[in-house]
Amino acid sequence: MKSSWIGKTLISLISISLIIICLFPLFFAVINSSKTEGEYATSKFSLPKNFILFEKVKKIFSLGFGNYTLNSIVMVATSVFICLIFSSMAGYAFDKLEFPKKNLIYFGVISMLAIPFQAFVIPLFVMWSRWGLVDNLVAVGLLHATLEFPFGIFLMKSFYHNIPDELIDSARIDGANSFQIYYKIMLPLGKPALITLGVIDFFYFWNELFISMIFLRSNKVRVITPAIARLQVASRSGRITDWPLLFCGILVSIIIPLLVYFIFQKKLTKGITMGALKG
Amino acid sequence: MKIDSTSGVNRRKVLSYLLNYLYIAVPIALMFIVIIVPFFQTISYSFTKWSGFSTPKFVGFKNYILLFKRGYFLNALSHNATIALAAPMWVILPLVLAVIIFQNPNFLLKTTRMSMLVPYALSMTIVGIMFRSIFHVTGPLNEVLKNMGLKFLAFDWLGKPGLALSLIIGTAFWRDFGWITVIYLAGLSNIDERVLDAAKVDGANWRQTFIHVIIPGLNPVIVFITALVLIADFRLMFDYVYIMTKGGPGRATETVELHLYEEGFRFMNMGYACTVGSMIFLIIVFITYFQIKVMSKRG
Repeated sequence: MKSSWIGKTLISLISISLIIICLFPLFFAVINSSKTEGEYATSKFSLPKNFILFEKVKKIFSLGFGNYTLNSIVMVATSVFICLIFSSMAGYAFDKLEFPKKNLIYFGVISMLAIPFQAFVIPLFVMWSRWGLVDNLVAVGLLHATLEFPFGIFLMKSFYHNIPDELIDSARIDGANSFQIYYKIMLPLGKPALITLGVIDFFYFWNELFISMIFLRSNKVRVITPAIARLQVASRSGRITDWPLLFCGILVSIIIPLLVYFIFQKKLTKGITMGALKG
Repeated sequence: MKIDSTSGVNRRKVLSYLLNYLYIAVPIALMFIVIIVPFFQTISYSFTKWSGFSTPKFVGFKNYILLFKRGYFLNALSHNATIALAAPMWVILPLVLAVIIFQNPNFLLKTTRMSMLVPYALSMTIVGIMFRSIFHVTGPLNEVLKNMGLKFLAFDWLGKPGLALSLIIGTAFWRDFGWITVIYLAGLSNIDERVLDAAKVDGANWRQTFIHVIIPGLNPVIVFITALVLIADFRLMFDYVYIMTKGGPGRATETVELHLYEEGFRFMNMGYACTVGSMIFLIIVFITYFQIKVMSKRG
């Protein structure tokens, strides 16, 4: 089959259609983002006649999208940082250190994955607003990170499991204490897993809608994903939806994720698969 | 570990235990505050009438009775069940695709793999908006249909109660199938090539190879993806539904998490919303229990 001409053509056709299927919606948004509403209504598949993308982008920024992007960066950076530090510490402790009831505690951490967010969001929201933490980017970043701890700890522990205990024993004999071992050996050795976890978390936090929408309510602290959702709800109430403006908002909001995607593309693939192959 | 008899060594050991707890103290404390405490509060508030900021008033099982009597919850749950029934599509279709790509590498392989990961980089919100625009009355799909002379097919796709949920499921699948295929591809390249060659030498046809070599080799990946998809049903479908239909038309696409959101955060029926949350938890426990049971049976 491999050598047959028909087979080869068929495979190429499958590949090409896969590429088209995956890229078409994005392509569609790109070519239409620079059209007026009227132009979009009459011709959706042609290239834009007059290039007004710049004006559209300006309008998007005047709606606060520059600010929303900055807010997203603050929130996501906070949560990724917190998640990486504490997941690697706990992963190290659960795999390499000794303390009573270790396995029981680890089991407890992992079983938290089974508690759906809906089962605690309402009292959590009330608690958060009582403490004045609603509309606080750092606090919501902390919240995101906490919800990712079970996965992060699991990932780091299974990565550290492959690092031989002898390495730690010999460092201990050389007089290193447990924190020095963490800081000087486990943290640098864990770099591949940390990057992986960081990239996965980046996409998760950046793209998350539910929590960000509920816990960040005022315009000043709005992050990008709920902002896009709001833009479409706002445009929905009018009789005509300004689709080109929405597409333009989409383009502005995916610049950073796409950048991260292209920089870490290999790590991302590896990261997604690492979870699967270890699981 | 040796058993130490001297008390000095023992004391040092206890001290080191205490120090070791410090590594897990912060995440455990945070999870306790953010997850455990509100979780138990959810259960206790589910027996009250509560607007979130008033004093909760104990009403016994009234919310639970209401939940089943009003029918909205069961209606929403039936939509989650429909989504769960589509889960095999997530597991099987990318597997088939991955095997086809893996066994017939061509010059487009790298481009294909890269394109298939692009949807993963887009948020579900953005994917939802893009597909809503495609299915919209004045959207590109209808324009194509009109140009093909199929005007009778050009209707508001997401406005059809019988169709909207399937379109949402299709949208979710579009975002996921690519990266799942990529995972399978990685799993396939982990299968020892010698085993595949041996199968070929022994004269196994593609069906035998698929069933006896590829499936067992990919078993951990398949289990992982199944678990992920079932969790995603409750965790992630909210975004698509909220963006694409807001549960409509009527309540034809409302899922339990949207039901909870609307009751809790729009109508401020927080006691009732806690009841919904408790029920979701019970259902997940139920599903997980069966999943573990089925898996342990298979070994």
